[in-house]
Amino acid sequence: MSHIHISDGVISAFWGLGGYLIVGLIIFLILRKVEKTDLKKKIPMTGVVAALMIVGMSVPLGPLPVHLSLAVLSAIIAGPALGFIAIFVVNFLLAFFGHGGMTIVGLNTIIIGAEAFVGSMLFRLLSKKLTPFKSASIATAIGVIVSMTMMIGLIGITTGGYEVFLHKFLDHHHEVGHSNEGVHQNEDGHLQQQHGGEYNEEGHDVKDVKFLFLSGWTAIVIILLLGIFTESMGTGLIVKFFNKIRPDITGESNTAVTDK
Amino acid sequence: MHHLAEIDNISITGNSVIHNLKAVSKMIFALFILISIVVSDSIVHIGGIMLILIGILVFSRIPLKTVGVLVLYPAFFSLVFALIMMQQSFEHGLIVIFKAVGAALNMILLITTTSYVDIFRVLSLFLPKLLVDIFLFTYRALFIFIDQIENLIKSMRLRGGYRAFNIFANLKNVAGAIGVMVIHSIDMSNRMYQIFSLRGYSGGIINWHEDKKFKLLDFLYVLISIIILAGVIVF
Amino acid sequence: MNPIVKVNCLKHFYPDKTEVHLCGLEFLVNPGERVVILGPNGAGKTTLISHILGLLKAVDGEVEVLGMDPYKNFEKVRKYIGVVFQNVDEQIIGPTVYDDIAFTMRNDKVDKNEIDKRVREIAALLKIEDILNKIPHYLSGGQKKKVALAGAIANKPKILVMDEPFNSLDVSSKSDILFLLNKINKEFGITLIITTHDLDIVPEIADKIYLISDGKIISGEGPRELFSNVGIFEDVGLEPPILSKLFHSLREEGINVKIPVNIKEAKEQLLSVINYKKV
Repeated sequence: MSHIHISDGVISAFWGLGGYLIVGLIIFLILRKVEKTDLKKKIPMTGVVAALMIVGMSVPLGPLPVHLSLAVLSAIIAGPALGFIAIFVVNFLLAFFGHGGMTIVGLNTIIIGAEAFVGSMLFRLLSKKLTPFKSASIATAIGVIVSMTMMIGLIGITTGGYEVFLHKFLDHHHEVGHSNEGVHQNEDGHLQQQHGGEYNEEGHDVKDVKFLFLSGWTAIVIILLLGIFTESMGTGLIVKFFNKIRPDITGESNTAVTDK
Repeated sequence: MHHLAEIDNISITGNSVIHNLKAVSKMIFALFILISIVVSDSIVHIGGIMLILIGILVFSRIPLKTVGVLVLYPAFFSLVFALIMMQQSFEHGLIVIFKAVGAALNMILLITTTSYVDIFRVLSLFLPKLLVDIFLFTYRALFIFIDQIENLIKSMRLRGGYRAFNIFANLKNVAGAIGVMVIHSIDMSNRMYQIFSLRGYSGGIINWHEDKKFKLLDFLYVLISIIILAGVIVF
Repeated sequence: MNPIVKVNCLKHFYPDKTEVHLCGLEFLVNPGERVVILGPNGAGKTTLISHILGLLKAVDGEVEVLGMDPYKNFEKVRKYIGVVFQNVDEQIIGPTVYDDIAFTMRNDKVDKNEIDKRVREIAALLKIEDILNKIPHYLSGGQKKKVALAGAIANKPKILVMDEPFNSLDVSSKSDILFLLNKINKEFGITLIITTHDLDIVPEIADKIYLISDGKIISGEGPRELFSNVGIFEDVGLEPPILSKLFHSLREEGINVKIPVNIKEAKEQLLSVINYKKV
């Protein structure tokens, strides 16, 4: 769900390269462990799980403007380490189709990998007390929130989005309705008030800003919530389904309680 | 997902000059063009590169309808960021869209003229062998799953399990379909591992070997991309 | 002659708690023999061959291949076995047909030139030289089967195991595969172990037939002896071969005929019954 649909050129290439370096290191360490253990038997499974993720994304859910990513599910099935590699493979292959830029693959993998890692770890913990459906849904929801937070944070930092908002949209005159926490003079000679870490040029209040996208933000929040709901419900239902028939997939000993 | 199969088919059955170039040359070309697009901040440069890419696609007889459909995706998503950047200037916003579309065209040119298998072969030169194996397993499994999921969804529709606006029922039924596929896929991957073990698999399926020799056209193709990159940097 | 494969009273549990017992006759395969395993769906045919291949560990019972426990000596035994599974899509992994045929030899570190020579020899034998550079998933079902077969015999195995090799093949592809299997058995002495429930093909490919049903291995006879006993097929839930049924019903009418195993024998029988003489 938190796959950054950002194309090449939006985020600086240095960030993209940094993403690749981090992912490269993680994958190198994982594969070194695989070579030394009998995890090699999971190599075909990793490919199969990656293919499942790509196919899962293509399944239409009706009128919903979201699709399943199955990142947490892949980590539940293949384990967080090989799930991480599956996520990298998926992002890399999708980049060939323009689904996310090639330079963003590393960053995407880190974000979705975090979702998968958090989700699968939580699933293991929760499934000892809760049913497979509940544990998978809650774990996925939290995983998605983590990755969404990372995504928004990353986009903000790397694109300077926050600065754009502040520089452009605070550039008009409004009464200040807040207490001053300090007055600074910047390079241009404009007086700026520091208020809660955000700069108001010429003393107006951030809260009063009418930003082109403000109503758009509502739509974005709704879509994000829809994404969390869809992914968590979808993953929960899938896990519930196959747990009835093949509890060994999730590890029967992990699930102390069964769904009816 | 039918795009994937369609593109795979185009890359294999195509017989243009570009199709017949070595995969290495095409990937180097794609890399330099990508760098050019990413580093440039000039609409003229990026627009020029896009025109060149479209020209090569036409020359290679790649169906532009397929290309157009694929390019819509990055164009749409880049619009969000373009609108933010347009607050700075209209040109900034346009550059965002041009970069997105240009980079996508570049990748699409690569995958429609080079089979995935050849791309994996080149990757096997510098990526860990197990990682390349995973790419190959993913590729093989995808084609098996595409048919399966299409049949499952068809069957669901025929049996009333999928209706346009019944979100909750759809989600439940789609989850069931994917659940079935999960079970099949895990069993399939276990069978695959068994048979590959029987055939002595210990990692490293793809070997780097190249039948085609470097031709003058390969060098020219790479040279074009170097000239473009140099032009973008200098001018 | 020492049997090349020996299985005696096998027991196995699957992860979904399914229990498989295969007792009754001892399952014996001699070198160079063509053995067919018949049985209805779910009888345990695939379980039996999975144990022979060393993929499963028997909970109880004896499994011996080339004098070794195949599960414990997997790496040694597998070099003498070639295998073609039911769904060849899952076993063809080579990026091209050439790569897939060469796969096992490359893993076994065979010399590159030797690999090339063998690949081309096998491709010529199976008449797939023209598709060596093709990507496997675009091939037809029959072609994929041949590619899988080529990959299985490329490393000159002693035993070739095939699980339902004739499934989903058209008549022409079936007879192609049959012909090739008999050829490699005759020319290279490769022992064949084949599971199928296509009874019409069995006489063309079997020296010995084992019937599996309800956890029992019954019979161990040749096709002629087994097909004379129509009742045994009905007992295990298999449809007897059509020729057997026909001639059995003729015998019930008092007509003195032997049960044929193929069309040629059936024709001779019928012609002799009607005392047909060529003009």
